[in-house]
Amino acid sequence: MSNDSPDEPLNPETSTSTNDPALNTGAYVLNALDAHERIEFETQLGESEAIRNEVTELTDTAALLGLAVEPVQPSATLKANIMSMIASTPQLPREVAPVRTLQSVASLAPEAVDAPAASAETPDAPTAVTRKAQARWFSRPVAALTAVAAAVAIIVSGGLIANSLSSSNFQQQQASQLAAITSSADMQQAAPTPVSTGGTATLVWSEDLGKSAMILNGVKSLPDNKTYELWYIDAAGAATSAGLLDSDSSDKIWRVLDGTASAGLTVGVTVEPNGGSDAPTTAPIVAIPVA
Amino acid sequence: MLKLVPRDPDSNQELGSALPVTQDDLLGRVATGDQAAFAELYDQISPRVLGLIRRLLKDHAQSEEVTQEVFLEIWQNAARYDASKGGASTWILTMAHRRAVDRIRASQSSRDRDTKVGIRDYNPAYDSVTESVEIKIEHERVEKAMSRLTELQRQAVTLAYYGGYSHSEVATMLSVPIGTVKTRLRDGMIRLRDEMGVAS
Repeated sequence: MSNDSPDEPLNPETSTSTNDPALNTGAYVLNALDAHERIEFETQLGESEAIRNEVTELTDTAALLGLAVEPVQPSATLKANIMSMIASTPQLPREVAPVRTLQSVASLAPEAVDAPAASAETPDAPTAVTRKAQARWFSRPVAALTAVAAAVAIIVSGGLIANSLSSSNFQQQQASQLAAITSSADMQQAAPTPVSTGGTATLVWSEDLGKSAMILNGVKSLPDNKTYELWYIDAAGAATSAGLLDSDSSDKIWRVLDGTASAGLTVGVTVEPNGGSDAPTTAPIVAIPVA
Repeated sequence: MLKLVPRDPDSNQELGSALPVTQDDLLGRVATGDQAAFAELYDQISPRVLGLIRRLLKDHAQSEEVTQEVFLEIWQNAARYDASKGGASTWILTMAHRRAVDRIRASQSSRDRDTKVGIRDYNPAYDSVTESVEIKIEHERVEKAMSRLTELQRQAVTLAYYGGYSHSEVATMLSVPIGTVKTRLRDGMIRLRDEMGVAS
């Protein structure tokens, strides 16, 4: 199969009438099939080792076409957005089974991915090549992530809009500081902590850099005359303002704190009158130790 | 600001058997939740990802959005990537292409992308001046392989991959039956595979 001459005549009538998966490999790896055909093709893929191997090779070939495209440097805010998102995004576990049945592929629901049943099923004692092709195939995140991607797209659009509307020096500086923290070798991160008024808070910090950032996820939007204020609180309970964090319509807001993060301090968030306060006037809605 | 970035010679070797070791290693560390490794992987490959996505979507802001989706997906799925089964860059660029095409198909406005864009996409995958020797070599390798295709194969592959058009759109644009497009896409990709020496 793989030695077919590219110019060997193939009958287009046959290909459309039977939708022979063998003829769809090129369109598949180029993402030129429509959604229905794509699913149909993926379902049929398990039936032929030759087709799976061809798909594997043509996928590599398509990636080479991708590598021939001129790179484009993303904006600095993109990296900061992504780093802040992954700081509060859990990773999916390693898949249970390197080889799974066609049925589980066809259903591709996220909850099906780790179904324990899949691990035991290796129907026809696959050869090493089959196993490789299947494992490769199944390791690709495809439709299983559609829901996640859709959810992400919403967060993302919000984030990008926020950033493009206020691409001030401050925003740029914050973005690069956040990126520096999250990519530092000693970056630490507290597990997402519930905020008393709803949502969660994630603190990331680097002791080497002496900087920390608070990421608030799904917290309520405050009225115009209120703002979130961040505090470093020392062991004696003395609070030092570390900057204001305005809520907006986006699901996720964050800020790199002013001042120096060090072990033993606690970062707290309070709701303060617009413009902030010199000392907290309300109880913290969340407090996370820099430990 | 958009600018071309020269490729780090260490960060991207060939696909196929000689995989970019550093990116595979980085991805392995990302799978353990290593955010610094993720940042490094991002620095290495994000210009490639954005470059490919922007080639398909044209719009820069949308392209950054899709790039962000792709990197989040990388983060979430890193544990499911196995370096023994293919290079990190293949995995990532495959994901990037798929997501870009998904975005095109999902957005109704993309339906209105005029045919002229598609027609321009026939050739000039390679017509821009490049600053990096490595990228130039890759261009030439792909261009040389492309030159071995028949005209119809080349047009079909280029419209599908670089234009993000479906087979039925390609069929309309080239005035040939869908079945013919499918076979030309396959024949074309097989010829490219052989010309570029890709083996599994």
